[in-house]
Amino acid sequence: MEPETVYHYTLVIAGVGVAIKSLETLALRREYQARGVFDYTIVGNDALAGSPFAPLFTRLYSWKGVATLSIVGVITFSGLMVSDPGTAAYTVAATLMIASSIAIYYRQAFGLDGADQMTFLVLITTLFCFIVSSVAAIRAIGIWFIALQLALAYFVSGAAKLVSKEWRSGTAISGILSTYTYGTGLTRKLFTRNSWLCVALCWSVIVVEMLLPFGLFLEPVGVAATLGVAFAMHVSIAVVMGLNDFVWAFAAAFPSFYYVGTWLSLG
Amino acid sequence: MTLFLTVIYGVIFGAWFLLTILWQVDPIRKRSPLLRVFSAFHVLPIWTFFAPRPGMSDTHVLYRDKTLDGDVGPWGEVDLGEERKRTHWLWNPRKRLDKMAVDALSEVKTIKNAGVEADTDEETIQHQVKLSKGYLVLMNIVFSRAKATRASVRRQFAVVDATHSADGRTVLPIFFSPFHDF
Repeated sequence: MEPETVYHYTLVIAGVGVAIKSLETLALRREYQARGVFDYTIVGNDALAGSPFAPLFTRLYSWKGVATLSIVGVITFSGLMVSDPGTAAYTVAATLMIASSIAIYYRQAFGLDGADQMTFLVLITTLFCFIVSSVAAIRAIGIWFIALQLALAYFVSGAAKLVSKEWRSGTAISGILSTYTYGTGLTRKLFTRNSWLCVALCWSVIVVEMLLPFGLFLEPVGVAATLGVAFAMHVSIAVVMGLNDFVWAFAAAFPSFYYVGTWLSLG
Repeated sequence: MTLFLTVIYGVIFGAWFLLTILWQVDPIRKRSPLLRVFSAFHVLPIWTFFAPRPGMSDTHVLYRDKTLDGDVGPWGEVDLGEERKRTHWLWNPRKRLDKMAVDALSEVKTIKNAGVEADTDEETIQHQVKLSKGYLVLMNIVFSRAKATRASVRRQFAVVDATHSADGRTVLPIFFSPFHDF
């Protein structure tokens, strides 16, 4: 797979996430207005509010500005899908999609999650290493950075669970999946009454997450299988816990992971 | 020039990755002013999902109004999250409302705990909490909802955590605000 292809798939997958998030933002546009939950004067980034460009940010992050950025996200993703890679239209669509996504990322101090962080890393790396530069070595640096961040994310996630007594004992799964926020009626019933299932699931998550990064060192088919396991994990988390954006945010890093894993096995 | 640029990119992204590794370690996060500067730009992610201290409770934000006569109404709840729907694997906009409240509450708890650890008096802790962004966010969430009655002039809010077990549901109040004017 050529680096250009890696970045194209990265943009497409991340773009699905950007489009969904943009539409979700538009669905909640009332909350971005004055006195809404996401009122910029309250939740906005203090660093931006204190900067010389504060008036500009106040306009950009008003509910009309957010709605505009969200619409730009949807339109540019659509443009990306219908234009040919390497053309000016493709580059413009990709650049504007990334810019609108990063602008929204910096809007507020609270409410961001790991999916937002991964999307940010993936898109800003794509912007500087692919869109801005055509140097092969620089494009490779970006791909390695994304792949290593993905590997680090899984390993740290598993390691943090390994040192947690709630995760080692199994109470983490029953605790998290019994909530209304992250659980369902079925998980509340299942995991509050079967402690052995909780322990098994907790340790499965710990082991799988800590082992996923080592998929980089397998043969290409093993790398692909590793990513298949990771994708299945994210989809099941989306179905059970409602964390839909993690699917696209992390899957956007999969092409880079596959590229690096294949390079490591084939040289 | 190309080689120079490549080296610059390599140094920047290499350093960024190394700083990300360091940022995952809690004691380093607390003690490194340099890393906190980078983190202020939101460029250092934290990959410790639901660990080492997983959130195992639902956060509920409640409020009640007081009228000019001093009558206090019943507690109402801000509708943040919603029960799991079949479409949430693809479409779940309301999750961000709940995340906002959880993050705001997390900051309030951090300030309270830091105050308790430092043996700060309760009044000062309350003052620090009320000046925090987390408290303002929670207050805004509560005041974003319409008055209970036309006669409402002040509003108090509370945050409670609810956990579920085989024995049922346990509700634990986290804190109560004073009454604030509309």
